[in-house]
Amino acid sequence: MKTVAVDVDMLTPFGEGLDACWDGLRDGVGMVSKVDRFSTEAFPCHLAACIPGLRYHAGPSLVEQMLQALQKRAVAIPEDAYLMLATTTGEVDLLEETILSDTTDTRAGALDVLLNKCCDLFALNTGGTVVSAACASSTVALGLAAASIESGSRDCVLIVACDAVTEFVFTGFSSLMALDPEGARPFAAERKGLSIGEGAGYILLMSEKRAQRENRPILGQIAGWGLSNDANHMTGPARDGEGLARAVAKSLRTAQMAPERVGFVCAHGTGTLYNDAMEMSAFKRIWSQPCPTFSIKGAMGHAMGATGLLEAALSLRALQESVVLATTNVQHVADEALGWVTTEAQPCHTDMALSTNSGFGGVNAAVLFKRGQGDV
Amino acid sequence: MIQIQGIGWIDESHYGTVRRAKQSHYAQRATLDTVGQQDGLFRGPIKNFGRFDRVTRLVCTLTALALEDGGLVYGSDNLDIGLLGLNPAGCLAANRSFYTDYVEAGRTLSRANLFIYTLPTSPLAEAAIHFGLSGPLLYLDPLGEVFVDTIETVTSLLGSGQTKQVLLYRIEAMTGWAALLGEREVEQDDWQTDSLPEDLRSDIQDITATLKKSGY
Repeated sequence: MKTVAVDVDMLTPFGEGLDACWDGLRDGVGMVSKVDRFSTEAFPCHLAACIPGLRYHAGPSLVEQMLQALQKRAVAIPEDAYLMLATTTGEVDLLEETILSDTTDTRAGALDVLLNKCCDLFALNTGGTVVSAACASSTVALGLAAASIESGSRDCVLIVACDAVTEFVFTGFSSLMALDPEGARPFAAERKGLSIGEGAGYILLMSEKRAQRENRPILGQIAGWGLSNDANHMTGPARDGEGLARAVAKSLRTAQMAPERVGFVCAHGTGTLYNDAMEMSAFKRIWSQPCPTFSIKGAMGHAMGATGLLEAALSLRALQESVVLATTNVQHVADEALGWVTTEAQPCHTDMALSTNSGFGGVNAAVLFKRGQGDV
Repeated sequence: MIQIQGIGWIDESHYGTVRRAKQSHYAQRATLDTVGQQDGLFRGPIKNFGRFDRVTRLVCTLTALALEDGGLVYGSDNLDIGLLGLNPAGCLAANRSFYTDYVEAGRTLSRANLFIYTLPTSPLAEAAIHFGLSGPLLYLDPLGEVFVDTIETVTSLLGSGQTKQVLLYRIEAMTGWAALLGEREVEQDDWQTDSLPEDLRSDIQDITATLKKSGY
């Protein structure tokens, strides 16, 4: 049973909808700017990519506001869709508030509370689960959803992903010295770290049979998926890229496909020294010739648990448009990425794309997409 | 056929295994989060064990017990085993601890050593590093019947060749267990479950029933 995507939507620093995000990325617009949501005075970096107009510590959490905006735009999400909520910190701004105001709501920021809110918001009635795997949360959820549809256990899964720029996360990454004061420069020789970003999105997956029965547009197929762990370090990737290469190899194996079929890679590309070097090592274990590779994080930051879903939607769009996006904010491509990483958008006539993510704790995930016929 | 191949468990006073029917009363000589190290359950020192939070120490102890019960020896080579965590509280305590520390320090700079535990997968990751477990690593928090969705995920991971075995963890406030699941057949009739904590007995029954129902 094939798993197909029939609907996607997102809210990003570029605004509402995939079109806004796609157009911004295609035109090389950068959304990383000075944070005004909280004071960054004490930190060496002051930049992040935030969604304009969200209220901080004033009512609903940041991600609830994002999900409300998404829900207002959503049409025809079946009430029997099984929900997978992909996130890392969820409504951690609610926990911040309780600590700052010295109140004792011990459930503030709990992920199951957000899951229930999400079920209510999208009027879903068949349950769901939180899926959390650090910054690969969305990509892991895509794999698990595809597996459950292919096995026949389910025929409709809604993956909702969200994470927000909060003081909690900002100070944490600052303490790890992981933020680039000049903004993330993925795969650049001069890169010094990541930029935090935020966003929310959903992707509605169905069995091909149900999608056809309901006359849904088929935006693309999840053709393969792979998961692995480095078993190496809590915050740094295994430098040889063996763990990520293993995840990519599993995705190719489940798709029964040779690496040469893949037209481009939407990489994790955070802009940290070690992540980007690790990814290039991993890709060179898979491909003997360069495969066009890009990262969106120089333009819109790293949306943590949500990033994989945003990248999945953009990969489907790139397949439809036959375009490999440029990697924004790169002046000089690092030696190891030369010939691989795109700094200008380029045509690419292919029907297969790979999206990869890695995260704290050595988590790696890879998903293969096949182009569909519907408009993404 | 997917089966439980080994279980490690711990409660406020005892820890043990199921297949090998090991049981030890530790309450008068150690605490829940120090007993793994004190009783030599690990094959060697765990790097940074002293800075782990309680859940992480618990996960490491349970991992050692479950691997032993499953007849697996860990060492220099990685094992193709995935880790799937179920912990209803997630990392809320770690989140609270990290942010409170930051606020009390004047909201200038936080402590990286606390930040790295602010993900619900962090305890699993520490176990993966020490025990060399290189399969998929993830955390689930399902609504409703916990084991229905969880076992489906386990069967997806095993059935699609993502990993050969999965360690499934369930941690509550003062108790926890880890079950090693895989396709290798083991004799389950001899398991001594009478003396197990009631919650664990009930969970084992639920998992076994769900596995049977799923047809795997």
